[in-house]
Amino acid sequence: MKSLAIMTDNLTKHYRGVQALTDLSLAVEQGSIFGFLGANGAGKTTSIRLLLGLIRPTSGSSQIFGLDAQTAGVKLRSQVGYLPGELSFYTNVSGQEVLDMLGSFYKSLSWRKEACEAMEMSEADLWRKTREYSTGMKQKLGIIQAVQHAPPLLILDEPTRGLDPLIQRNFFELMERINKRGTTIFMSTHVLTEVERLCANVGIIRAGRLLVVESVANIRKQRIHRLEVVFSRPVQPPNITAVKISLNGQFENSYAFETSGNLEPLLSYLSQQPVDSIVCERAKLDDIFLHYYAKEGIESRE
Amino acid sequence: MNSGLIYFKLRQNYRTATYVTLGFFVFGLMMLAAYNAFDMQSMMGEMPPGSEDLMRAMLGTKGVLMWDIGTFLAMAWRHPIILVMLVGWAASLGSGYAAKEIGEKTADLLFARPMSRAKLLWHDLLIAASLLFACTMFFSLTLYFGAQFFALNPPALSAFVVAGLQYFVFALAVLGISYLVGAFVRDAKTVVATVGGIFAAMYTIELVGGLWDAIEPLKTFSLFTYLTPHSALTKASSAWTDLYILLAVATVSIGLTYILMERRDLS
Repeated sequence: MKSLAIMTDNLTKHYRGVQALTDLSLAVEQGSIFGFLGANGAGKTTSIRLLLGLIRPTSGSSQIFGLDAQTAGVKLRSQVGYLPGELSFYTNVSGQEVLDMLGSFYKSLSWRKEACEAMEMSEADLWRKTREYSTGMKQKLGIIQAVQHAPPLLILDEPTRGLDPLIQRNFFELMERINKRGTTIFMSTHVLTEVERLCANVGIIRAGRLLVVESVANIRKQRIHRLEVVFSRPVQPPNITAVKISLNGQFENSYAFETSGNLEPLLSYLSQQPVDSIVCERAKLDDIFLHYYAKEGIESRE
Repeated sequence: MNSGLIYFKLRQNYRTATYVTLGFFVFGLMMLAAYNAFDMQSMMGEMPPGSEDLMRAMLGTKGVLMWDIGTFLAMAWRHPIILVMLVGWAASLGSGYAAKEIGEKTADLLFARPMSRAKLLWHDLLIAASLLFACTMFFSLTLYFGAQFFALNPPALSAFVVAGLQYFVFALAVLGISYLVGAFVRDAKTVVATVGGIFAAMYTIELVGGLWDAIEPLKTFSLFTYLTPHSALTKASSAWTDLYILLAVATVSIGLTYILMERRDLS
């Protein structure tokens, strides 16, 4: 087994009666890309702040490369590049000055040039005052400052927020290159496609509780597909287990099919029917949450 | 020592520091020019009864007032406009360490660097104290050389240095209290408003306590009681005692800030 980049043990944080995070136990292997998936307010940012020692846990502990966040915070943070979720910069200075100041804590800034190129931030852009930056430019600057010192661990809180599709693609390519050099990437997001694009494993968190840690391959298998089909004439609905069928009232002879996992039986049935139109929806994050919630509910009853 | 962080903090604060110092410079020169242009000594001597008590309360002194250049310069140091500027600026500098970072959401960037909160505090203190020192000493020297220029026969330069040091340590006490307030709150405006309120209350106690005997014991709790440029200019030993008291207040508040910030959640 590979050594661990991140390890948390029953990490818990309460704020004045609000349970922000409860018993988070997580292990992220070195060299992997881990997706931390959850809706807004699920506890992703709290977890990250606890990992970095920015806030103190109510109970439990966390380690990065074996260094405890509370007792070895300075050494721990020297191993990390961090992109905060709520990104904001000092306004009366240029992007270049921000990068220089934030980079002044490290020995080398060997990845700055590469990160600037990937984020398409020119010299002229960097010398502009940050108060003139758009949301996307701020996000790009945030990514550069996190990557510039070639950290062994990258912690990114919703990294693609505000980035246009082209820069998003560059960002994913940059992450893949960095990961190949051995950097572990821990990425929090609520966008499922980001996780699918980059991550091998994913942790799903909701209301401060880790629901599951799963490989992306397994998530794909279990994801829910919703097909809305309009038939040209009345049909006999199929008798396939694990397919939920409901009448779609919008059109005549219209049905909604919901299934998770293997789509083949349903597609085989549809191929023999007089299909007029099909709309296939991608699974929403909520569907996956509901799926795991339902699963968790059954397990807890057992 | 992180020179990148020091440069950055200087870069952020030099403009305000320059404006405040220029303001002090112009104010000092104008006060001296006024003293030179009018016969202040006889004007003050002809003030209506009771005015002397008020002047004494404003200067924070006791006993008979000598209407000389020393008394007049002490008025410059303790002029309400100058004090408001100094307290406001020092409070603003003190809010920069934690409260401003949290309020403007830059704390996650800075405090995630590999540097302890204590070291970050020392860096901030170094810059803030250097700027305050430069400004207060410059003001002191402006008054000395201005008085020399107008041939007003000022006290010795060493007395001005002591008065300047006392002024600096007073500003350091404001800074320390601002750090301390900043360790509890989440934005810079609250720090400046709270510290402004505390020092307004202290000034009121100092002024009213100088006029009304019943309030006088409360003056012990006002830091303005220990801001005594008049004593410094007359080379009274109490000037050093006052300076040490101000230094103790600054040290205790910065020390408490250090302890509180080590335990604080930065979010």
